[in-house]
Amino acid sequence: MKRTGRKQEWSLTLYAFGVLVFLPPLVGTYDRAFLVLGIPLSYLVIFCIWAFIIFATWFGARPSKLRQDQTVNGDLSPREPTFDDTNNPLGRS
Amino acid sequence: MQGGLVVVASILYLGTLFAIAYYGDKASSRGRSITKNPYIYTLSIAVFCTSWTFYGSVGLAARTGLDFLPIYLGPTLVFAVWSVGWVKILRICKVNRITSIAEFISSRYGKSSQLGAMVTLIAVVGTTPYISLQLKSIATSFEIITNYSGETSFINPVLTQYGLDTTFLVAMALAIFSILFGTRHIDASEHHEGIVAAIAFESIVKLFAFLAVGFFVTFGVFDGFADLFNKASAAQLDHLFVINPEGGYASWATMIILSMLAIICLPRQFYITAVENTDENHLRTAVWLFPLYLLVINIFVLPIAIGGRLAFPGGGVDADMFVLTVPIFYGKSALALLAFIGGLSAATSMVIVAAIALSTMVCNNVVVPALVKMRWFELDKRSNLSGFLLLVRRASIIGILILGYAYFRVASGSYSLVTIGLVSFAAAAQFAPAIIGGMFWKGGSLKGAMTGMVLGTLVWAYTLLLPSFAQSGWLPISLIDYGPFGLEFLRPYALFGMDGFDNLSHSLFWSLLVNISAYVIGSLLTHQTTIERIQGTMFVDVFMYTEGLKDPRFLQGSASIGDLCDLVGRFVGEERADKAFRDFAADQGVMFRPNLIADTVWLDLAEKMLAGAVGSATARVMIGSVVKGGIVSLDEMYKILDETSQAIQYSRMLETKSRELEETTAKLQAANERLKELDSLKDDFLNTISHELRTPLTSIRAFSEILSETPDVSDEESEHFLLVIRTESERLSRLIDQILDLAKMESGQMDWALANVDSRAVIKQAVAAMSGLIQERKIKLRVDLPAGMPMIKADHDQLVQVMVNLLSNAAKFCADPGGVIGVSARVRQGQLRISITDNGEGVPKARKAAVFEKFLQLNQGTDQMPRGTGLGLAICREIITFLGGAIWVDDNPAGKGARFSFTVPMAKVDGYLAVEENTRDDRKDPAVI
Repeated sequence: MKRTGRKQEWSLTLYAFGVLVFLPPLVGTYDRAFLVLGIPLSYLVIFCIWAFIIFATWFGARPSKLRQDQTVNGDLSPREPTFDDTNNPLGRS
Repeated sequence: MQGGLVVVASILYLGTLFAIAYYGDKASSRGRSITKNPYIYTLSIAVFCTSWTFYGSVGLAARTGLDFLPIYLGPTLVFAVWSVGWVKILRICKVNRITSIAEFISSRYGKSSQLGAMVTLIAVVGTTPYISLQLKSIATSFEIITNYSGETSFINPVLTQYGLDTTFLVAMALAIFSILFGTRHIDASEHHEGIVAAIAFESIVKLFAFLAVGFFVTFGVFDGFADLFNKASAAQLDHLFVINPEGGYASWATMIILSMLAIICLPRQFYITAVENTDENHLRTAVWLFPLYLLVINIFVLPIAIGGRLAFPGGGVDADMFVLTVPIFYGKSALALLAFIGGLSAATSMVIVAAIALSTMVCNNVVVPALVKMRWFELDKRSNLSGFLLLVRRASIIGILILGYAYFRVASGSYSLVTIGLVSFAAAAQFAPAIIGGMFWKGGSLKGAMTGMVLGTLVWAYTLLLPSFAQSGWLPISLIDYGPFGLEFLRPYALFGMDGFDNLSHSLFWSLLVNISAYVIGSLLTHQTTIERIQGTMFVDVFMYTEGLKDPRFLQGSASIGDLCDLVGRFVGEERADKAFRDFAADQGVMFRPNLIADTVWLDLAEKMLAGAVGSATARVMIGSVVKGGIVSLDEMYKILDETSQAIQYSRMLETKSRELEETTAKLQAANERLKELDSLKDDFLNTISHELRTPLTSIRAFSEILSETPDVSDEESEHFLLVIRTESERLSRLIDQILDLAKMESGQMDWALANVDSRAVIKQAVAAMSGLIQERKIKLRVDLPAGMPMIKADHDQLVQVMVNLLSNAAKFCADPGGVIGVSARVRQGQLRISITDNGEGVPKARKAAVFEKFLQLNQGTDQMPRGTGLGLAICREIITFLGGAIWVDDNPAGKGARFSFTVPMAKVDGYLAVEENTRDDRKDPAVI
């Protein structure tokens, strides 16, 4: 898989956002017991943020169309030059 | 519900699971993999949702509201940051063929087998509570569904009548199941496609079952979410709508952090996400689909919990089992059975994956390294090792489940599912500093990682595990209340008096503080070995190595391909090894020739195949054992490199030395030649000198004998004889003086007093010294000096000596009578040239150079008596050469006779010197000078 710098920035931003909204003190701002449309506010907000993060993760993880043909599959371990790579005119030993 | 029906349903379910696993393996071996698919991969990661999620979350929600959520929010965030974290872990695992978390950590810190064993130990100890949680949930749910009376009653009449313990039976059933699944054969790649398929299926089942119960409660029992929450609000269950308000958000935050660490560090999560991954691109799907799975399965947790609370307002029913008891309460037996199966699937998936992952670790990181160390076992000589390894793994699975059962018996009775699970999470979190540090910090060292992990785990055991034994009455409860030996500051739940935190936050704080500090400080204080440094770089810069920027291969060796194939065959089976080697040869486009020396590619293949079977550290040792006299390990490789570079250095030094030696030899030879020359010169010199000395001595002796033995010698005669004796004695002493001078000069022992010398004064002094002889012989002396005579750089006395010698020569050899001697000086090209002419017979052309040789006497006097010592000119040449000038003889340009000239360099500082007023100093009478 080719990695691009933008993806890393995107995911780090997303991570920072998640940590910020789920950890105190911000969590205290929406952690309320009253019902909105019959659903508890905390429950609603947490699930909405959660869904948003999942969406944003999906958005960031889409394989870039430009780079699709560059993706590397299968054996990732680098190969040492084999006999064929040497273009030896004498043929294979 | 009939116990038999439940048992049959369970067995049918497990049978289906086994069929799927079997089919998965078959399909994979036929090359039509069903698991190489991002969705199957994602569902297998959902093994994260265990009984804890299925039963425990509902129980927690029913007690404290939204506190169940952090365990799923943390992993969501970790997967959001996948492109920094997971991709790297996956890549490292693939490149290094890592098969477990123990392997990952030990590989990072220099392939240390000790560290691998330690990680395994911690993982086993830490996972035990988690397994006991699953056992507990299966046993409890089985009791409830077969023997439901609406209230608590956990005695099963069917099984207990045979004296059997349900939980133990469950544990053994799961052990057998795991053995059947996970240890059917040893696979070099450690990809268990059948298991992945089965686990994915289990994830669908548990999700479906849970959603079914959730839909039933929300839309069957109640009229949608709004109705449910309104009724809860009316029943004053408002406090369940929020995060547990007691103790602020400390526990909430702790659990988010903990679950972030756990999703990476739990051995089974690491195994299923990193090791079982077949394609990095699958991660692109998993990173959003897995969090989505978590979100979906959690939507109905709170509704079911509230449904349970409303159904059993009086309490008395285990809230952990609401998923089961609520459908039963509303008379939905089929739904309850589905829920039971869902719970079973959640528990079995966890136990199977954990057992397989742990047994691999126990086998590869504890048992095999131990056997390798025991020489008598001769591991590398045994033929059928794959069978032996399978046996080790199977035994470890049974052992791990027995441990889980033991913990269940000892400790888990008094705990809720979630509390037990969190104990495990906190243990797994102890791997985090070593893993995360190791991935991003090259400086993390083996000793730092080991110290951190040991200390962190000890603190974890002291602050979480021991108290859980104490609360179960297995240890005295006073340990918790008053600390060990009444030392209150050591109370496990309030270490150093730190009150006001929940037990988990408290434990996590102290254990991670100690762990991280020890890791960082330990790493900073200790030195990494070469292999640690290399592995550190390989891990941290893994993308550089795999994306073609660096070459990670280091191995070289001299084992034959056949040797390697045999070695691998002993562990993975001969056929399999043979096939893998042949396939590899085909891939490489070369013939499979067992006698060929294996190059790095083959060594690598063998090591990777072995690593799958026995772990990377052991594999390296094994390859090392078969590579004879080759470079077997990085350590050794580097040692050899060191030695080579030393050898190169030595040979360079040797080269220099031998060159110096040659030069010295040449010098010695030259010196020897010179010595030989000097020796012969010395012989010549002695011959000459003895002759020269004998001549005057002979005359002196002869005349003195005549004088003493002949009484009638006339006065006139005797006066003549005495005169001869006197002059000969004088000549002798002069000769000896000159010989000494010359010897001193030639041997370089002459003390020279170089200074700026007034050349005119030198000439004057020499002329004055010779004036007696010149007057006596009535010789005409012309001194022609220019107006400004320069200062010269010379030894005054020696220069006077040169002048005197030349003047006395001139006086001896000039015409007699009518002798004329001329002295002139000229300044030319920074040198002063002084010439002395005479009007004698001159020097024959052929002998002009030879006159400066020692003891060369040219024309004798008319009496055939030598007129000089034969050393005067030789001394002159020595002096002038030393002063940096030249001396030579040519014909007198004014007519008959010879002209001796020499040059002396002028003193550079003062230049010309003022002289007397008269510009010409041409005196006919030398006595006036």
